[in-house]
Amino acid sequence: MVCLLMTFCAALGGCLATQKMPVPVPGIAIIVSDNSPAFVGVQREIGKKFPRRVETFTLGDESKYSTARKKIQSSDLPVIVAIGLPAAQLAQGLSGKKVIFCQVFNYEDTDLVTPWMKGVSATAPVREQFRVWKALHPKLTRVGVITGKNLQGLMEEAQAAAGEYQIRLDHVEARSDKETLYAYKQLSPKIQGLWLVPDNRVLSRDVIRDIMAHSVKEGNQVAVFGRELLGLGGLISAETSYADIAEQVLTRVRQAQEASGVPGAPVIPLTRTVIKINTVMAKRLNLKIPETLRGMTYAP
Amino acid sequence: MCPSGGASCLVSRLLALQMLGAIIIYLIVNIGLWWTSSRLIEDNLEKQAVRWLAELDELGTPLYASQGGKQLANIDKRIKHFPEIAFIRYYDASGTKVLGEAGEVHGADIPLLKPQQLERLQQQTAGAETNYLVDRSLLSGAYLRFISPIRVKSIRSDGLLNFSLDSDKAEYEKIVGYIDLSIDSGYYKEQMVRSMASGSLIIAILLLFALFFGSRLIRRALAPLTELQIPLARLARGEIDVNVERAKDEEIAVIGDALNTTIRALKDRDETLRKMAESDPLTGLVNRSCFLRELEKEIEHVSHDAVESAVFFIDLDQFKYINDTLGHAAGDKLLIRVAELLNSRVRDKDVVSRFGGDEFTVLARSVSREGAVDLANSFNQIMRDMRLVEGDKVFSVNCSIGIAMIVPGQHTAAEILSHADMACFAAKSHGRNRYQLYEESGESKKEMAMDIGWFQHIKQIIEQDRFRLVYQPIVGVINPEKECFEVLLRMPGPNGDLVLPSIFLPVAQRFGLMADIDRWVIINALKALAGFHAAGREVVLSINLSGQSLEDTSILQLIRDQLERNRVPPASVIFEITEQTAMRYLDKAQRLIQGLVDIGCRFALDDFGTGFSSFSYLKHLPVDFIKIDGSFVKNMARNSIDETMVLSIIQIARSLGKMTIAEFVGDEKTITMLKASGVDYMQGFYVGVPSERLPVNLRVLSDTKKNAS
Repeated sequence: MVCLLMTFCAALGGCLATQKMPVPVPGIAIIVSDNSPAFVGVQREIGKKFPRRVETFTLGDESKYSTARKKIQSSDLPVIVAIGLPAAQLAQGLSGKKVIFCQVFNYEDTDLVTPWMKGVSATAPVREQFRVWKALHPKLTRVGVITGKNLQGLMEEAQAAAGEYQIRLDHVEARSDKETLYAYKQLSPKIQGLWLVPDNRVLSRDVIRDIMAHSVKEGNQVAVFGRELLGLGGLISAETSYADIAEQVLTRVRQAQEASGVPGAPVIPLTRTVIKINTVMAKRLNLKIPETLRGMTYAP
Repeated sequence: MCPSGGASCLVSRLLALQMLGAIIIYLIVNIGLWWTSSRLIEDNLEKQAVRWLAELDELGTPLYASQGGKQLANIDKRIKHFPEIAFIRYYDASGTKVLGEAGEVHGADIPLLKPQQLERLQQQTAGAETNYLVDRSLLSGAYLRFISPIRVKSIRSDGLLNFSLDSDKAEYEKIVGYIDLSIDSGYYKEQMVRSMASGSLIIAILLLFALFFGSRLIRRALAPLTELQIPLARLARGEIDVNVERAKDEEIAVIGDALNTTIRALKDRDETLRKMAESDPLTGLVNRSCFLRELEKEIEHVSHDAVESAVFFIDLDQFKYINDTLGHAAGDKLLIRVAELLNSRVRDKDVVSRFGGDEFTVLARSVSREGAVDLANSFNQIMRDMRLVEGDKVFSVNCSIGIAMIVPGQHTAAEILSHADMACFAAKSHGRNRYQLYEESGESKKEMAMDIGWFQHIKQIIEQDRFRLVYQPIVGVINPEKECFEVLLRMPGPNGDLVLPSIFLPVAQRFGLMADIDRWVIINALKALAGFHAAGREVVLSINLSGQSLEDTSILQLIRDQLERNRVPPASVIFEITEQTAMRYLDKAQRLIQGLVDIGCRFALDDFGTGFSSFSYLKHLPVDFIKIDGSFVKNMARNSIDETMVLSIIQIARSLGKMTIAEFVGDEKTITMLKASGVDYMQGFYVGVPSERLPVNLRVLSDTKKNAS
C-alpha cells in the first residue's frame, strides 16, 4: 500500500515537475568576432543545439562594427551571445540586452562582467589538467605559471586545483612577451613544469618558441593550450570543445531569459576538456604513462 | 751577362720589369688585404653586433619589467670579457631617458641618441629585415654604434584559440625602448694591422723569394739568348769562323739556325769574293796578286826549311797573232787550254797563275834546279804538242819560259819575278819555245843588275817627283792656230841627263810601275794645263796611258778629281792608249774610254795600224782621234804601201766620224801628202820638237800653211 502510494506520489511529482520546465527562449542573437574556426565552430554548435530563432552577426573588420551595433540594438532579441573579445566589447555597449560572452580569455582586463553580461570560461578545466599531469608525473610538486595582470579568477581556480594535487603553483605576472620569457628563464631552475596559460597579452609566437626551446633544453615539463605545441616539446595539452562551450553558453542563456539580468558567477567553467599526452616528451623525460591515460597519448 | 757600355740589357730590363711587377703585386695584395680585412672586420663586427643586440635585448629585460630593474650587474658580468664592447645604453620608449648603462666607456664622451637618429632608425627598420641602425661617425669612426629598438609583441586576442605557430595573423608590436651599443672597431683594427704587418712581411719574403728564383729562371731561360752575344760580337768584328750552338728552346734555336745560315752565306760569299779576288775569271787560275802572296809565303818557307823552289815565267809566243786573226774568243779559248795544260803538269801544292794577258807564272814548291828544268821542258813539250782547232784552222802555240830559283834568304818576290821575267825575255831573244834559267852570274846577272838599278832609280824618281814633262805640238791642218800638245815624259838619268822613255818604260812595265808613272803624269800634266790656261793659252794636252792603268780601277776617279781640283775643262784633255794595249785589254779599254768620254774628255788611239785587225775593233771603241802609226807616216813619201795604209786609215776614220793624227811627220813632202789625203792633225819633229816650254809659234806649220795656201 505504502509502495503504491509512493509510486503515485512520484508520478504526480513528475507531472508537476514537467509543468515547471523553463519557458522556451524566444530566440538569440549571436555576434561572431570574425570567421576564425574557434568562433565559427562555437557558433555552429550553438546553432545546432538551440532550436529557436537565431540571428547571427559576423563582425569582421572594425568598419562593420557600427552597422552591426545598430542592427543588433534594434533587434527584438533580448539575449546576445558574443563570441570572441571584439564581439563581447561591442555587445558591452548595447543597452537593454543580456549578453553571454565566450571565447574571451582575459575578460577581467576589459571589465566585461556586469550584472547583465557574464560569460563562459575560455580555458579548459584546470583541475582536470592537474589531475592528468599529476597522474603522469606523481613527483610533480612545483609548477610555474606566467600571465598578464587581472587573471585572479583563473588563478584562484588554478591554485585550488593545484593544491588538491599537492602541487605548488608559482604565479608570475608579466607585462610583455619579453618579460614572460625573462621571467620563465628566471623561474625555470626553481620549477618542474610550466603551465602555459593562453594569455595573448604576454605571449608572442617567438616567445612561445623560445619558451618551448628553453624547456626542452632544460628538461622542464610544459602543459600547453594547443595540440600543435606538443610538437615543440609540450608534455600535455588541454583544449576546450566547441560543444561544451555551446552547452554552457545555452545554459546561461536560459538562466538569463528567466532572470532580469544574467544570474550566477561572472564566468562559469567548462565541464569537459580534451587532453593529449606527448609520448615522445614523456619518454624523454622518463615518464611512464599510466594505463588510465593511455587513451590520451599523442605522438607529434 | 750584360754587355758592357751604355747599351740597355734585356736581362736587366726583364729583371726590372719583374721587380716592378712584384712591387705592384705587393701593393695590390696589401691594399686588397687591407680593404678585404677592413670589410671583413666591419661585416663581422656587424654580425657580432646583431648577436650582441639580441642578447642585450634579453639581458636588458629587467629594465623594462613590470617590477622594474635597477641593476645591470648581469650585463657588466657578461660583457666583461669582450673588450671590443665600448659601452651599452638602454633608453626608454621615447629614446631620451637612459635607463641603464654598461661598458668601459661612460659619461659625456658618448652623446645621447638624437631624435634624427631615432627617426632614421624607424625609417630604416620599417618593413626591413635589419632591426638596427649603424652609425660610423662616433669618435671619428673609432666606434661602430648600433642602435636597435626593443620591441615587445603580443598575439591577437583570438590568436591563441586554435593556436598555430605558422599563422599569418599579425601580432601586436610595441617599442618599449632602445639599445645603444658601441663597439670599438679600433681594437679589431689594431689586431688587423698586426696581422697585416705579419702578412705583409710574409708576402714580401715570398715575393723576394719569387724575385730571386724568378731572376734565376729568367737568366737561365735567357742564357741561350745571351750566349749568342759572343758569336754575334765576333761576327760584328768581321770574324766568320763562328758556329752558334743550337739551343734547346725552339725560338732561340731558330735564331741560332738563322745565324748559322747567315754565317754560312757569309762564308760562301767570302769564299766567292776571295776566289774572285784571287783568281782569273777566264782561266780560273789564281791572279797576279794571289800569286805574289803565295810566292812571298814560299820565300819564307824556303828560308825556314832551307829547300829550293822555282818560279816559272811563261809567255805565249804568237798569242797576239791568234787573238788578232781569230778573235778574242779564240784567244780566250787558247788561254783556257794553256791553263789546263799547265795545271795538268804541276802538283797540287804548286801554284799556276795567269799573270796578265798571255803571261803565266808557276810556283813549283820544293823543287831542285834539275827538277825545275825538267818541268820547263815538260811545259815546252805540252805546248808543242797542243793543237788548237778553230773553225777550219788548226794551229799550235809555243811558249818562252824563264826560270828563277828561290834561294833561301836572298831575294824578294819582286826580284824573283823579275829574274824569271828577264830569263823569259832571254829565252824569247834566244829563239822562242824554249826555257832559260836565270843565272846569278855572267850576262844575266849584269842585265838583272841593270834592270834592278833602273827599277830602283825609277821608283826613286817617282817618290822624289823628279819626272819632267815635255810638250810636242800637234798641229791642226784646218785650224793650225789651235794649240794642242802631246805630253811626253823625260826622266833624269843617274848622271843627270834626261833619259828617253824607250829606255826606262820597258823596265817600268816589267816591274809594274807604269800605273804609278801614269798617275804622276796625269797629276802634273793637268796641273801644268791649268797653269797654261791661267796664262791665257787655251791649250789642249794629250796624255798617254799605259796598259797597267787600264787595270787600275781608281784611275778614272783620279782623273775626275784632278780635273775638278785644277778647274780644267775636260774637253781640253785628250787621253791616248796604244792600239795594241786597247786590243789586249779591250773590255777594260772600252770601259775607261767610255768613262772619260762621259766626263767630257776626248780619246785618241795611238800607233793605229800596227795591229792585224785594227779596223774591226775601231767601231767598238768610242775614240775621237786615231793616231796613225808613225811607221806608216814616216815612209809614206817613199813607200806606196805605207801611203796606201795611211790613206786607208784616214778614209776609214773619216767614215767612222773620227779625226786622224799623223805622227812622225818628218819632211815637207809628207806634210803635203798628208794634207792631200785629208788628215786632220800632224805631229812630228818636222812639225815641232818636244820642249819643256810651250813654243810661242810653230814656224814649220806656218810655213806649211803658207805653202799650202
